[in-house]
Amino acid sequence: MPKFATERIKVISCRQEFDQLFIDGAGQLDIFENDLKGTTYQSEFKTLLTYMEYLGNNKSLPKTKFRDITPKGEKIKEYEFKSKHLRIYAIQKPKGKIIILGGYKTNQDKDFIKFRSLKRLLLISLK
Amino acid sequence: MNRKELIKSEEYWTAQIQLNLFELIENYRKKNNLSKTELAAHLGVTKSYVTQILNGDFDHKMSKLIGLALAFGKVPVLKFIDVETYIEQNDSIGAKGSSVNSNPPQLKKTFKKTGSVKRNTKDRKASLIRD
Repeated sequence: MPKFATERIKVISCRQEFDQLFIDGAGQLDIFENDLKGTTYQSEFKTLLTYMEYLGNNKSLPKTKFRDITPKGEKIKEYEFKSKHLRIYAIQKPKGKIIILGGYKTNQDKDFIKFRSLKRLLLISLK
Repeated sequence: MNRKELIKSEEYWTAQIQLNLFELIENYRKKNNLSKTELAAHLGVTKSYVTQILNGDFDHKMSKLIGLALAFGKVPVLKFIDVETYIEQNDSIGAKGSSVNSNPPQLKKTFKKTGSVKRNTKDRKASLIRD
């Protein structure tokens, strides 16, 4: 079982608590950001951070930028932040959200599986 | 990336303005119970133009932005503020550095399964998601 931790995302400033998941000491949003270094997608990453901050200030986002992806019957809500090529997956926590994973649109199907697997492990670790 | 880098990026301000415009128009549309087609007719623009705004993808000329604001009975007020001043005034969380932490904290068991937000049917049907 990996070691989980969460930490507030400092790059955005909002009323809701936006945390990122750390797995064995590695922040999932930081990993995603590092993957994007040197690519043309860094610009989209900044836009996604802005969407997170906007939502975190209790404002509305278009459905094309943010959507509820919670499967039927799931108790903990699941969300997806969207830009043209990138996706950031998050779950609900009492006063905000936890970013679980970031990925490319082209890898969405595999990322959904990974995201839900991480969510499940995280919830088990909290029991 | 740190807070200052984000604040100094074009992407941040472009998205902020696009989202503000989206909210202005979507709120007006809902309040007046207008379809996208009716809203387009009200504004004298095409439906695809309205869709573009409601998708948060508006990126037209400044004159269009001003025209839209005025069409909704609003005046667009533009202010220029020093980056440092903006960060000091608006951010409760520091603008110091990377979010990477070499000694990440242990996860506290504060997470509750009841933490999910329950929505009523009306909310679920709404096109906006507000959390």
